[in-house]
Amino acid sequence: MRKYVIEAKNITKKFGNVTALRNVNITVRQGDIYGLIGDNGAGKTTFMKLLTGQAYSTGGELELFGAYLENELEKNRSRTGAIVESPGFYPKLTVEQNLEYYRIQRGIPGRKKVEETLKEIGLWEGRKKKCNALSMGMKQRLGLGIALLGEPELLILDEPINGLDPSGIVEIRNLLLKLNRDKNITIVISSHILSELEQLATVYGFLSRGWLLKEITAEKLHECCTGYLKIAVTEPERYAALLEKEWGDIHYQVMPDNAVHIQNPQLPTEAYSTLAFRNGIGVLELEQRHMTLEEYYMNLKERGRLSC
Amino acid sequence: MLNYIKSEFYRVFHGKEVYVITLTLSGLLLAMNLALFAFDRLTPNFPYAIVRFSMNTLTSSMSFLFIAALIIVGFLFSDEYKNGTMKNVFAFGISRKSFFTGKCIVCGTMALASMTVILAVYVGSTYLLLNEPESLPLEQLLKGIVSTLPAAFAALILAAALFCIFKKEGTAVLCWLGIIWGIPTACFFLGLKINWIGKVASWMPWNYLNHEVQVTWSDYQCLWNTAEGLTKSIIAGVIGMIVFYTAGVICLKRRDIA
Repeated sequence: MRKYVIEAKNITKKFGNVTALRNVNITVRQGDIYGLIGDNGAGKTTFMKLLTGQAYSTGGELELFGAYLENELEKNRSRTGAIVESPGFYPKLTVEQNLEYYRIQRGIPGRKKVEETLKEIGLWEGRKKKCNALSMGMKQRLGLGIALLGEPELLILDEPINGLDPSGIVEIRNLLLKLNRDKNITIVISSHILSELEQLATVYGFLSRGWLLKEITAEKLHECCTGYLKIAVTEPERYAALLEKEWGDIHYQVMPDNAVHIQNPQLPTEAYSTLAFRNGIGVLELEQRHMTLEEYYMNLKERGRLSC
Repeated sequence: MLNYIKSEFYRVFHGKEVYVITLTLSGLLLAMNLALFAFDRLTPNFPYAIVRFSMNTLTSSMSFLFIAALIIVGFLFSDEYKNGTMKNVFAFGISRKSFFTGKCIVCGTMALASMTVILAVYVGSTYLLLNEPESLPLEQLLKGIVSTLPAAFAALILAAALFCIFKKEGTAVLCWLGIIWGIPTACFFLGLKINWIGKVASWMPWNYLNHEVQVTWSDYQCLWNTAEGLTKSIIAGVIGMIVFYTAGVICLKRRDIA
């Protein structure tokens, strides 16, 4: 059994009258890449701020590496690296000076570490540049470099690929995958680019208006998304009842557009259309489909929950 | 906390801010002496180009140390909120108390170092350029600085606390002015009517530096020349340091940096 790195129990966070997180329960195990998905204002950044000690929860309990007391949480944060909202650095110092500043602050011995990090994040050439002259992509890389400096066991990354060019995105993705694979670094990551998250995350948490709608592993999500039969019928509710009567534990969803999505259909397509015809229900459309993470998220958001 | 302090010193020494402040303030004081020197050369019987006049100008307005403290904190704080560097500190496991204490120590040390350089330039240029070099004005200036130093550190700690608490630097500066100048002035006037407020007001640095320091051409009636006055000045400063430091720690504790 892998250890929990993060355990959030019934976390609530209020900013004045606004509730940003409502009784959120999130668990992240060692070695996970946890993808946080949600619209703006869903509570992703707030959750990350709680993890990084920028904000305090209004209710509930947060554990980091098994510690929940405030001073222990602070101590354990030295085992993490983070970029929340935007990368933080001193604009009048150079890239190298910024990394050196954080190396000293984190008590990391040897200047070699700065050189290694600069090479790792692809900023070796631009190390003498003042940070106020950096492009957005370079700033993101520097932020990642600062987060990686202390060889963290947990990386908390809020939209880390914002502003990166396509090759930069691939490089950062590969770097994160490498860190996770080789050093078993746990990563909590949020991004609006769901196709990108799909290539990284091993567990997903879907947030909406402060609620955690669903927590699902990539495997389970893959199962849910691989293959569903879309059958649009004239009487979807009656057809759904027939499906249950005929095949019992079948997983399906009735969609707003008169379609019924049958998850992982076990029978040939004709069996499902025949069921409709036999009972006088017209079939408008029949299609074997695969759901993307984006579609899964949109469905989840619209319906609040999914059977899968 | 030690690592945090070391990193801050690294940043300060690699930035331009502290050099700019030191050079600017030294330059201004040097310019004052140069102006007196120039007038002395150009105007016959010009009476002000003497060491006593130049130094008395500073001795009689010792509250300039408070303003210098505010300026140095403002420069060294370096937009911690805007740059997102404050959140990094907490994200890497440094407590708010260590952060604040570290800031106070670094700003205090740099302010002291900067003041030493500025004073050296000023005193050196005064004795080099101006007439009637006597030691009493320098003695009074140094005594004044030493007795005001605790209060100046209190003003510096207050500035650091306010820059930590408020996102907008303008708000922090206004609040600082309110506490350092506004409240003492209000208390002074209220104290003219209400006796106990008057007693409290007389312990406030802004008030005693303005009302208990009289410098003329021939005479120095300064509170630091009596044991009682010197003790009062040091105690008031130390109380200020404790109060503002404690207030800063309490205000920052469990404060969201958002």
